[in-house]
Amino acid sequence: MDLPLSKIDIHEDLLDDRRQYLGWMLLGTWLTAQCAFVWQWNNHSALFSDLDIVPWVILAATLMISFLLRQKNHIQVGGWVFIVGYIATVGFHLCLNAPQIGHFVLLLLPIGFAAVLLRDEDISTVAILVVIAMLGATLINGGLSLMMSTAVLPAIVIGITAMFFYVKANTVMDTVRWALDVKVKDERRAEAFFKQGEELKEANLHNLKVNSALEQMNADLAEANRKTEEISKAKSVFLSNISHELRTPLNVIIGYSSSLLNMPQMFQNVPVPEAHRPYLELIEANGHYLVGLINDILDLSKIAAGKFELHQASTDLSEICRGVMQTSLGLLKGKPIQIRLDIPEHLPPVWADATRVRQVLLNLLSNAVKFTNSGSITIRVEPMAETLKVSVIDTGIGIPPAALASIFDRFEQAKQDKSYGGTGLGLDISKQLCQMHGGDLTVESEVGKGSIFSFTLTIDHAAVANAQPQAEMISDEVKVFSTEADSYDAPPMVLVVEDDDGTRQLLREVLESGGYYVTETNSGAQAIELAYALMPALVILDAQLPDMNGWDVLAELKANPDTSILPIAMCTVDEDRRTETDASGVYYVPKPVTAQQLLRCAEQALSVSTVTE
Amino acid sequence: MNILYVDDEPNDIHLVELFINTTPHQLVTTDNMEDARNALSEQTDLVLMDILIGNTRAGFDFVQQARQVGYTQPMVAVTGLSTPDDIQNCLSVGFNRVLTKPFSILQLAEIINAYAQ
Repeated sequence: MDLPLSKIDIHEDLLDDRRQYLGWMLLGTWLTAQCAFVWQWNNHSALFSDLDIVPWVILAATLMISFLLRQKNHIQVGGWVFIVGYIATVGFHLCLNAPQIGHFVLLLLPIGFAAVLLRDEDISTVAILVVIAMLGATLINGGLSLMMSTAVLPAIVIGITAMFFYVKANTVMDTVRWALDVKVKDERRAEAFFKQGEELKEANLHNLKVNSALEQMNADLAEANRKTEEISKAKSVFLSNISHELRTPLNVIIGYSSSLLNMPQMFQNVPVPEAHRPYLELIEANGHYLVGLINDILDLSKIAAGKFELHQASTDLSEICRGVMQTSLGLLKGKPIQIRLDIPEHLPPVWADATRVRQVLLNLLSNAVKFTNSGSITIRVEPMAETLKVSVIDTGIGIPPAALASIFDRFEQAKQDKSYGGTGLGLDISKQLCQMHGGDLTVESEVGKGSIFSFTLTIDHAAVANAQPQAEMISDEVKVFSTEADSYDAPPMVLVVEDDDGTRQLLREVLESGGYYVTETNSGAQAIELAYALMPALVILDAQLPDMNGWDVLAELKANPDTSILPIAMCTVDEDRRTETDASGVYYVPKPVTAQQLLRCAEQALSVSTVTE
Repeated sequence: MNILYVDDEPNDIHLVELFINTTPHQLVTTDNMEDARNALSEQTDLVLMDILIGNTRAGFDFVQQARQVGYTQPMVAVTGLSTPDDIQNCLSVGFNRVLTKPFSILQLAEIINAYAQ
């Protein structure tokens, strides 16, 4: 494994060499000078005679060459040049003068030093050869006594040769190395390596510790995750169970009170006394209020717990608006308010959760109904660039500017709202639902004139591109019922326009028992709006209405190309007027209306008409 | 029609009894899964079932088992569970419809009439 280690100083090695070189250069030069001095002393000749200068020149030349070579980092070659030059110089001297003992010593000492410094084994060989050559020269020249040549000279030769071999021993080398600081450097380097090794070990250990700490943290996180998931799951189960626990007693409250009021046959046909009826109705109404409150609180809990899920899909707004409109009619309870739909013909689908959009719209509409005494409530859808803007516009009492700022706050309306009915949570939930769809719920209002609540939904471009029929999350086979009871229905829809409450109730019961779905109104103007918006399978129209003449309603419906195809059953005592209208699709049900006639009329109308939802 | 209604709330059972007595249908009621299993037969035309019996969602198991042994008649959940997930679960284990509590007798009547045909 290659690790970045602390840098070992290789600069020292170069210094080492340079010091070496300088060392023996100096040494050599000093020794040469000594030799020169001794020789001059021996020969009593001038320092620079004609021939004497030659060796000096050679020496000088070799010094220079070796120095130059050293500059080019050829230390060995430089050293050799010097040695050879030196030997040549001495050789010259020997040729000029007879060799003497001094010559041996003075020649071999520098070579010996060179051998030590250069640490080159060849030098030893050279030194021995030089000694032998000098011996030979001495013997040939014969300048020494016999004793000298037989005993002393060999002794010196052997001694010096032995010295060479001894010199090769490391001890002296160590000493020299020490002198040149090499050993210390080696040790220092070794120490540096050791330190590095220790540092690495420590780093490794540290890494291992960190690793094991991380592993422990991972294990802890996994455990915490698991616990969080468990808690999340427990929360879901808790919310479900709470819902169940709250709803079960309400089933008793609402189930029994509504049955007592509406199904006397269940109770041995003993009808509820009129004196008791309103109180039973009160019980039922409060039961419904509690259901609404439970739903709101559950929604808020889910949102707060982060467990609220939107099931978004391609959604047809116009269908939702129609359904909401129908339901809202049931909330009117006789108030003179017209509910209108203002929707363009070809609405693109939006990417939204249909159930929640309906929830928001119902909330806005029920508020509008609550706070409007007369006039109109309009559901308007306007296409914008990327979105559809949905607005609920009423002509109600309006909201004062002070209250406007906090109107979406939880329970803010509680005091005022209770007198109008409502949980005070609706707007809070609606606003959050709108925000979850990527928009927001906003309000404009003027006291005495009315209010406009608006929100936006994103257009589903993919569906527009594919132009496929809307995906209905719940198939026809499977249905979901809630007490608010606004479902998409397969049974044909009949619009009942009748101002007398009793008659209207009767008509509703008869039609419902025949399997029809009934929408009712007591207003002619509203009837026209509804007919246009809902396109029912049949309209049952009373001739006498409070705001408009039933015949006028008929005329207007037939005049409008969109509604002219609707079959209309006129309920009238006036037999003569039936000849006035020649339009097709108009039936007559004489008053007083009997169930038989009504149902037969409906059947007739439906079998003939080609109008479907 | 022969109707089987399983619920551990006696008040709810009694309300439905009162209603069915005004109709030509026959009603068998139980308050535990054991009796429910015994009561379910080929003659049963419609099953109304509460989900939370005791403290467990025993209703789910019952429906799954019933469907596995080949019971094909309609089964309607009558339950206080109301979250979309719960409703989805009901439909996916084999219920045909879900009637959430609190319901009105009129709603029940609609369902019974629909299946009586």
